[in-house]
Amino acid sequence: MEVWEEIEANPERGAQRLIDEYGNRLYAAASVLCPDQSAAEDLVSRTLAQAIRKIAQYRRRASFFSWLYSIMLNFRRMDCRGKEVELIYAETLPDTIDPSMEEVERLLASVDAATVRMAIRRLSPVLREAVLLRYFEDRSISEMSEIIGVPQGTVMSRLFNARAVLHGILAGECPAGKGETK
Amino acid sequence: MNCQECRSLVERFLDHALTGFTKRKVNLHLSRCADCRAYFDRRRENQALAYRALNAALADTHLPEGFAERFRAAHVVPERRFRLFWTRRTWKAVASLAALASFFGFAAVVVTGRLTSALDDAKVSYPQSDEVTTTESDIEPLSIDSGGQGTVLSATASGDNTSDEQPNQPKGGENMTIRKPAMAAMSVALAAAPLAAVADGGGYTSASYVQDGLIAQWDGIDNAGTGAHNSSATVWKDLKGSCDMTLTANGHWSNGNALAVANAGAVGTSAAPAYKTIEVVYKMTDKNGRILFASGHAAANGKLAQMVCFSVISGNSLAGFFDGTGTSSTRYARYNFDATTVCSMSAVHENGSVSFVYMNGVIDMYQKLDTNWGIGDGKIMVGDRAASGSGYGWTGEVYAIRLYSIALTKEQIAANLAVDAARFGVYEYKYLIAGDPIAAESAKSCTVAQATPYSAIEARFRTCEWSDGIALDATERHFGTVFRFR
Repeated sequence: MEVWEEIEANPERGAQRLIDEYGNRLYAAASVLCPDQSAAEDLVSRTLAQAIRKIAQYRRRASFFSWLYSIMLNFRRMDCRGKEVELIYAETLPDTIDPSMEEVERLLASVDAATVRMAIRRLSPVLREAVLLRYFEDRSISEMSEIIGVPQGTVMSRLFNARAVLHGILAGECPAGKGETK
Repeated sequence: MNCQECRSLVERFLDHALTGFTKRKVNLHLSRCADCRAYFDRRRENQALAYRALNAALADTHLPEGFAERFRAAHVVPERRFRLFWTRRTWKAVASLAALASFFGFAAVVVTGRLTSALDDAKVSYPQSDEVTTTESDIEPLSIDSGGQGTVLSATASGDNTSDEQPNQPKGGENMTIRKPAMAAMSVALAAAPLAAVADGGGYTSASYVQDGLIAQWDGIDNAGTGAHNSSATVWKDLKGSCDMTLTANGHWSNGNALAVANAGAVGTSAAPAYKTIEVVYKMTDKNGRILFASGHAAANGKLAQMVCFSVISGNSLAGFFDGTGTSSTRYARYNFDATTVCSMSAVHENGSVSFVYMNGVIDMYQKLDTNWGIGDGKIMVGDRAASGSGYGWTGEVYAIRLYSIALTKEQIAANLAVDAARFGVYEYKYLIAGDPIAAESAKSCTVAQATPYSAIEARFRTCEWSDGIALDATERHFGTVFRFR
């Protein structure tokens, strides 16, 4: 029985299964999205509760985790509304290769886990979302577009900017400012 | 495609964002250009390193210990509960009451309860109540100045049990028992929540309820008009007026006859409806029962034009509004009761066009009705749909019924509920959820997004998980989705 079927058939058992199968993954993402452990737990809790509450609306067009993830991201966005700093969005892709893209990934690979987490946390919420979905959840651009609810071009822009900002953070060149949360 | 063009697309290529013609061109170029192939390979490797780094950074992140328990406590499982705590005062009261009981020959038990702000602290997911005014209070022990053995009325239902008004009905031949509540009966029936009776005279009585607009009241504990009840009693006095409940035939129940109001004129007619709120405190003991309470008037086709029906079908207690002039229009609430559950149900007819059903103080259903409630043929029936006994018997215990000439507000209903809980031990009950067999057709999500005149009514609703609007018309009933409570 799929987890969404079990939730419908027996919410209590389904809830436990939801926690067992998806809780850690959601929490890992939430721990990056949120400023602290308490907020992350609260976000995951609200996400799972909403998923149970709205289980009848899961249409099975996307993967179940994508659906959960989009619920969580929506909650996070509502929480952050009004608190975001000004973001830079590049609406078009660069025409030339930007070597910092490569360097970002090298930098990420060269630093320790705590530094990586710190760097991601310094991203603005929307950029953090993009990084999590792309690098942690290994979602394609089209999947990210569906989860986040923006066009694919916007997803690409956000990834581009996220990488640029990450590079700046990891290379020590980018003070708190545009594209970052305080 | 030249190398610069190809390399400019590397990010999109690696992100699987290229499709169709562009992707084929990139692949074609990569198949012919070793330099670009090397570039792509290096970029792919770096991306993989980034993946690994990020995943390593987050891989050991686990839910905090105890999350599952906290989650359940906060969101899923807890029930609406009116808790009764035995305190030291309770035991002292028991001792003194036992002495009194032996003197007066009454069976009396004591409860000291704490009505928690259950509707506030119940972790309901839906519906939520932000407006319940019920507050915690120590419930004073009650004094019972009347009572005794309950009157048990039993009969065998018969008649046509199939009806388009009551689909999926059990077949006939079932026994229907309506028990007039009394202390002894209650102490047996409510083993976990015995009722209070102490000598100090304090506590709740039938006079503790909202008095504004109260026009008729039958009360199990405080039914002082008949003196000591016994098994052959045939009258349940109306404590507020002259609408005594009487048996309809030969002093005992037969053929599923309901208690009928002796003087229905006092509570109005269909042309001039005199009541707007019905409240019933009851407990079903037979899950195969049918109608608990019915009131309405006969239409030309013999069916009831309007009826409030608190019904039990196949283990699920239901509340619905019949409109017998048309097709079957019953809609069901979502309650899955067991035999130990006492509930307080209120049906409110408001504005001449909308009716609500509250379950234990919670708005659970509302319906647009085109006509008012009323009594045309002089009957309020408890336990059956018609005085002739058409087989819609109900088995359980009725503790109190109240009729009001006004539409009680949610706050007033909450106030009455607090008294019901204190006196009768109103317990949690179980909602069915979408997907349960009985509820499947009725536990819809719906949007309260109608224009006037319902906007004023909407403002009285608590926060609801409403979504996907359903037009409010004469045939629609509206429910929210709820969690299952255990």
